[in-house]
Amino acid sequence: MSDGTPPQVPAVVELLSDGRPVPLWAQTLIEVLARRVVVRAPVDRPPRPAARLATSPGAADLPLALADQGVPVAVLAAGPTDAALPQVRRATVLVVTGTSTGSTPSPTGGPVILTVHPDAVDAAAHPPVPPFVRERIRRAHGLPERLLVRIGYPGATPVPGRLVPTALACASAAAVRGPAVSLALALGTPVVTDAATAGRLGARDGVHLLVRPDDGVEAALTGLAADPELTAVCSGHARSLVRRVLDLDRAAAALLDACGIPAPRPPHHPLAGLEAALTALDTPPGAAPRMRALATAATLCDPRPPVELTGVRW
Amino acid sequence: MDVCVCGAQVPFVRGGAEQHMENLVTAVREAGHRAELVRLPTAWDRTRVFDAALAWRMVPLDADVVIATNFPSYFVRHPRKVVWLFHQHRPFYDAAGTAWSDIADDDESREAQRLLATWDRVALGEAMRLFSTSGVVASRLLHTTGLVAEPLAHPPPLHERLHPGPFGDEVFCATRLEANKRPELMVDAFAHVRAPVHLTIAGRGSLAASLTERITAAGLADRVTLTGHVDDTELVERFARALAVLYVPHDEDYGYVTLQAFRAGKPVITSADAGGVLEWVTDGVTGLVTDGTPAGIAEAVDRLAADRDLARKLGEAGAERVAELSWAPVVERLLAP
Repeated sequence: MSDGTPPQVPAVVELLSDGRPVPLWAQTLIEVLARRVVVRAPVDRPPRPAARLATSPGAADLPLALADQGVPVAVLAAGPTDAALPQVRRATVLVVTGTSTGSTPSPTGGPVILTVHPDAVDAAAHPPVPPFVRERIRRAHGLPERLLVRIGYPGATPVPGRLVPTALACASAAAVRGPAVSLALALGTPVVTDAATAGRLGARDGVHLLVRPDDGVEAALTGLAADPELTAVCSGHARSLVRRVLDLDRAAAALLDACGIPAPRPPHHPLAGLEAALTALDTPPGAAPRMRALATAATLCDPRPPVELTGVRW
Repeated sequence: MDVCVCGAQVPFVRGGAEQHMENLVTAVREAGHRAELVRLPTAWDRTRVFDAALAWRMVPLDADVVIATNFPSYFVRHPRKVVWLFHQHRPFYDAAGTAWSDIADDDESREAQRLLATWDRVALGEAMRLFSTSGVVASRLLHTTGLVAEPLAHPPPLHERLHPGPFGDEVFCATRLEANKRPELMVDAFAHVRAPVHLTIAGRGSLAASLTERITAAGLADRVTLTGHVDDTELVERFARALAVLYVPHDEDYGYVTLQAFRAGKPVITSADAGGVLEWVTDGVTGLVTDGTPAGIAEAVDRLAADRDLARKLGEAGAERVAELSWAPVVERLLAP
């Protein structure tokens, strides 16, 4: 569907790999990047890439890419010490994991260091489900009125990996440890976890989730599920925390910014404000209000048929 | 200061919310500020309900402060946004599944609810201050979004003109004739009332025709009157002459009728599920709280008809309860730096 405005040529980011699997956070970061730009393997055809992203300092084509002066290069690294590697020093951005989020210039004049939380998630792909909607979902699907989910705790019935998001989206409350915690927080699940996990995520007891030692988890879980006010408060705060510090979309935006790739629509574009407003309201891609907004904008377009101009439809 | 009061507009509909906004503008002006009421048309159906919210999001408002009131006006953006929440979009929340909601038990409905709750949390959460009209509204907000609002009570329309009067034989109610106000319950109750008293319901609404039929079918034409719209002078006089005020809405947000009755020194007969009304009506103190059945309501009417001293005592306690309400402290709280 056209939004009634001249289409833009999407920026292209080429992916350089050493053939080894990338960690989950990096894999998801690339998926999130693909919502903003075209991510493709290196190919010898136009358009010329706006940036190159090496999935490790050992990526085979990295030296060649660094020699191509006009195209910024970002490197996903195992840690900040990789910044000292000769092939990384000439990169534009070094993406590392750490508990703080954001980009900082390298003190030694090397690449900009972009820190991504290792537990960061794709928040847009996991929209929040407030407790009162969970209740309606459970009722509609014949699930128990109080559905308590346990993930990563000894003795818990294992939840198959592919069902983890569903279980967390339906749960009245969940005791969670491990990588699923940030997913649970993104989904607005009322969570009980341990102090180490909460600390790593910057989550506070009684605000974003409940922190309990192992022997207090069951009681906390039951109590939390029975407390509609606390579940609503924790659910909302948990989602806010994820959007603020654990959202890979922020990392993707920062990465593109550091590579000098502009946002898909410039700030003065008529749809930029609408899109920004929808995003600020935590509206997922493809949600009905986004489609209605775009359709409305399309009604304002010039009805003349588009003209092909230098390969781009204007 | 330049203050924009923001509110939803449903063309050709006028009720408590509209009076509330207008009275707030007047009160802000009386406090020495410039104030304007800004309204945008709103549709309540599930498909279009997000449109007006998004429109508010894009409205450029140049003012020192904006005070947003009901859904979806609180989606307005401003660095100094104060929300005085009349109500959220209840058909998506506590009223889902009722006759006045188009939210059904399907995936599309649940997704719409999920999305609106998410939007509400963002839009309301960004307010510099968050007030609600009543504890009931604050409680609903807390349960659905986890946000905390401070209840801020205000005087009802005509509060300066309402006055006590003789306890006559008329049980009175001024309300919109809509499903959530349950006017049919009042009519049904009067089929059980034994005392020689009359029920008068003032107000317009979509249920007017069906209520008229109901009254006729029940043989109550000589005991129940629907006046339609009455002007302010008549309204004040009807409150003043009433034996009691009958008001049995379902889970009301605030309920001006209650406060107007108290200003006129009249007791209020209500039901245990009337929501915000119960923040003012205490059973046996400022009125009678019934079980909400026609028979239960009728019993309360008969009791007051038989004991005018009790009616007076309850009415006086109600008057005392609202005596301190005024606009000046409300405006002060809303515009506090």
